[in-house]
Amino acid sequence: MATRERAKPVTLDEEELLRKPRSPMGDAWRQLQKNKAAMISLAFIIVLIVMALTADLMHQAGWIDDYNTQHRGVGYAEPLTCANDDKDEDGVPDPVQFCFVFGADELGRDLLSRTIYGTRVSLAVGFIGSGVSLLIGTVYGVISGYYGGRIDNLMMRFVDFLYGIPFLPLIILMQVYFKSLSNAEVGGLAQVLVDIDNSMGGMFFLFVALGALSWIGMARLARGQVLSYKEKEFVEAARAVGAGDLRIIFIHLLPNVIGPLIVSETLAIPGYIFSEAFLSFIGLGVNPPTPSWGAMINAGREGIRSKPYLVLVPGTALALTTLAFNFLGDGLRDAFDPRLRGE
Amino acid sequence: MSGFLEAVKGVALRIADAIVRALGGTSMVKYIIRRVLAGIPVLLAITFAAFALIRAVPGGPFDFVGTKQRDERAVAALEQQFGLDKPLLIQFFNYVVNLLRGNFGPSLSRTNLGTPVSEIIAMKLPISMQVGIMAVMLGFGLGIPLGVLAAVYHNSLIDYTATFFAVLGRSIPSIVLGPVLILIFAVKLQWLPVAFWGSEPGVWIPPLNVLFSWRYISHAIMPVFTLGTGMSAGIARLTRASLLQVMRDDYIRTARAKGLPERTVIYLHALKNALIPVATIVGPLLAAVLTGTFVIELIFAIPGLGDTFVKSVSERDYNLLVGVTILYSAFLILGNILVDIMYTWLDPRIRYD
Amino acid sequence: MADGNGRPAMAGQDMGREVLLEVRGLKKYFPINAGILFQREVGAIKAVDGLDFFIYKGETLGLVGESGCGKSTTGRTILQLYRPTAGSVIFEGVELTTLKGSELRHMRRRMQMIFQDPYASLNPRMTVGRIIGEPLEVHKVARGKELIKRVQELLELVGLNSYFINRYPHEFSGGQRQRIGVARALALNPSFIVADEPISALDVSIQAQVVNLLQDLQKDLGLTYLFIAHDLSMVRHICDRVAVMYLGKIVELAESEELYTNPLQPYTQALLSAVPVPDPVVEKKRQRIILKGDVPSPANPPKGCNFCTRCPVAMDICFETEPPFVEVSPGHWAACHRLI
Ligand SMILES: Nc1ncnc2c1ncn2[C@@H]1O[C@H](COP(=O)(O)OP(=O)(O)O)[C@@H](O)[C@H]1O
Ligand SMILES: [Mg+2]
Repeated sequence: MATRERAKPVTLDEEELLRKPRSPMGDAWRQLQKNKAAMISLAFIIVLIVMALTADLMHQAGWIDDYNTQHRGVGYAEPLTCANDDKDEDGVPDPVQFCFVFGADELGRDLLSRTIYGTRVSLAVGFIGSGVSLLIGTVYGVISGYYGGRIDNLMMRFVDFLYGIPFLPLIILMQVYFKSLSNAEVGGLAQVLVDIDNSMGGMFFLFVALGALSWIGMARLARGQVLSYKEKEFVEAARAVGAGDLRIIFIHLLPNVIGPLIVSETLAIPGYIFSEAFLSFIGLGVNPPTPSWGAMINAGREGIRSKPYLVLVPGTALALTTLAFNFLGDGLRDAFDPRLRGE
Repeated sequence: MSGFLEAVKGVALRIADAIVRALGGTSMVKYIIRRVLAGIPVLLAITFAAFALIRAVPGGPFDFVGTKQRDERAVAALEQQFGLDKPLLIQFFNYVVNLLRGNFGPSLSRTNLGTPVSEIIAMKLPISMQVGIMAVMLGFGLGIPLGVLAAVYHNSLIDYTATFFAVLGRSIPSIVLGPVLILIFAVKLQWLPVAFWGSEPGVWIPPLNVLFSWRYISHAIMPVFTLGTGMSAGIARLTRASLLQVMRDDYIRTARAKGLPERTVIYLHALKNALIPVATIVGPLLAAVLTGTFVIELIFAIPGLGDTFVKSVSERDYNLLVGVTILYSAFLILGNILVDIMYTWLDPRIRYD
Repeated sequence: MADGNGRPAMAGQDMGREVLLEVRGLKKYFPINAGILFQREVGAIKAVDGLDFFIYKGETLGLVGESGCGKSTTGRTILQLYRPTAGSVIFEGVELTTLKGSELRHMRRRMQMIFQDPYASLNPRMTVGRIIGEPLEVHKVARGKELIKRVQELLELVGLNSYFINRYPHEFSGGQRQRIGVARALALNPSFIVADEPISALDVSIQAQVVNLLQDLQKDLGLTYLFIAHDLSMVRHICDRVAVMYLGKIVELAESEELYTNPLQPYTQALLSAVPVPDPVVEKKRQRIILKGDVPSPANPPKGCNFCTRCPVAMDICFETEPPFVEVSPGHWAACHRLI
């Protein structure tokens, strides 16, 4: 072998050497930044989150009302009107003037304040619903896909089983049942749960009901992802090196499979928000007077002929929020999966 | 006589054979049969869940008895008449036995007391189906052209506009879109009738002979549009992605290289293949129609199955609630089987044997 | 001479040389499951079906055969990445097939693997430093600064710049990635490496570089290789001895030169007839033996000799009984009824 090349170092120019490393996450983030709709949506969602978290502070600062403050004598105030409030109990008129930017409902409650407080319910349902579903679905799907064989078979038969559940009728029945609990004395551990639910304005059981029925699709997706990665050679390499199951799952599989799962959950958030809005719409969501956009829309529907703002204000908030989550989700999907951009 | 039987048997066998072949061979038939059989325990479990859940809620169907105060004796008599005094498991067993005979039991609601639930379903289901089917038609009719347009003019203004509208359509919840449409077209413009909150008599009458009357159409436009836009958005997105995928495949490039005009390539070659995955949306769509009509019926006061279900909750009409849940569940299970079958037909790599 | 377990040495071993790895009766069957509702076993893929061979310390044994004949499965079963269905694997005097848990993990430090696909064999979400450092981390050999230093050494060892430590795999070319894979395999100072078609997926221009790297490392570190390849032309210069595999069995094994000049088994002859020869005179006379038919399914191998369905010189007995794997001349084994 005369023309034998020594295995010499690959030579590189200075610039190439000092270039910063590009992580896959960083690439995705840069890609997302290019997507204007997604970035605007992200900003909007952040504003919503801040609003939801600071609603009480804004109330204490006197910018907005509490969600249940009733301005006496000003039922159905039109938007952009102000009224003198006589909320003092002692009969002495209080000279404080309150302006209803978006009007007030039949009880004289400021619509803007209630809409801001309503952000809490929608975001909580959206994030916790998707969070619970992501958690259960991922754990279930990863176990099923990773261990395979009989375990996988059994677990997937159970998922198939759940696929036959008609979501809406069953969730309605579940909510009817949970609602009946909140008025009853049940005692024991159940009482603790009922108390939690009451203190959360009826949201807790909503999370349970939504979470219990919505992780199935996520489990299938997670399993499929794990199946496609676990046969990859880098997993085999980790095994050859002596890595245990937990290390392989957490260090090698999860970081690779989680992207599409998060994208899919982001795109599912509007679904949870819809579900809550719909359940509140038929009176099976959060307990009044906790404001929820769905409940507000339903309440406003009766007077839509003369007071359309009662529907339009919470309706716009609901539509904009779901729009933002959809744009963000689409943007994330494109950023994570360059193939879909069609380049 | 035996010759006649032989002939009948021969014909029957030939028909069975044709069906088997149409379904894609015996393994597929076996697969379908097994899947349907596997659906039975699911159905049974869901029946039991609904059955137990609704009975666990305080209050019963006969709380309306007695004007000022509850008449315990009358309630007890009614409960005995409808078998509600028995232990839960016995009731369930009786219910399932009846179910196997195709009997969903009598309605327990105040207004329809004793009417067979199957009769109520037979009356309400067609109404829901009309809305659903028209919405699906609108969904495909709007969604496919939109998706094709977006894919053909990929990364152009048209694409962005179409995609934007698709996201918009997906994002506006029907509980918002419905009332807004009513506000614009019924209240302000007064072009269409407000079909809700009981101010109007029930005009939603199903017979086909009124299908094309303006009265029927005018009542249908808003609910169908409300339900259909969300679907069309999903279909448009799927069509676009699928078409883009197919257009990148080799044989399309070959067709282009052969010099076929762009439009022929798209219509003849790409679209045919691109629509394959779109067809599989039928499963999720079925679920969307089922749950979608729930919402639509409430907003537009359409006396369909969803509307009846929600009303029955407060009336504690046990049999109707359970019956409708079973019906929806059966639809879902069959829909899922249908989707899996379509996948095997469309993708020969998947085998079920 | 006896190995660590007190077992007699395999026939034909050169008593003067130390045997690093010995494989006896190795089998690996993959179950075939079927069923819609609940899966049951309906058969088995006989991916590896009874192998007997050994590898001398410091040598390179080539394992050659068509795609799907069970080469990768052999490599993985030896390393206990798949647990064998039957047989034994004795490595450095230790029976591997019965080892479990921490004992097996401990042995993994001595034997490593290099993979075929340089794109699939590196985790895209880990930096090169973490990939190469993983073996050190798992075995708690080094941490912190020490680990980084060792990783940098390894990078230099395989001819990569140690600046690359924080880069991600997608920033490298195929050849560079393969070097990263080699560095990972070397991290724990193993004595034995299974190289599963390490150059098949690379550009021809890069292949020589990686082969040279592997040979340099062998010389410097005293490594022993099981070098898997799917065609004979590649292994001639790399391997000291070559084993030819067909449908889960080794059909011939000999010193490289002996195998190339004097192939005994009809399948080996057919494979060799497809290899171009640099000598134009010989090349002209070269006659390709075209095998008819397809390789049978490993789920349903033929009765008798596995090669009987395609063998141009098959006899009646070939369809009835399996030929034994015998030492035809010193150091040259083959399985064929015509040789007995
Ligand atoms: N994990 C596995 N499960 C089932 N069958 C497998 C598995 N790995 C390999 N096989 C089968 O075993 C046979 C040998 O495969 P392999 O060892 O990868 O061949 P080679 O590396 O020689 O191309 C093939 O038929 C393959 O389909
Ligand atoms: Mg291989």
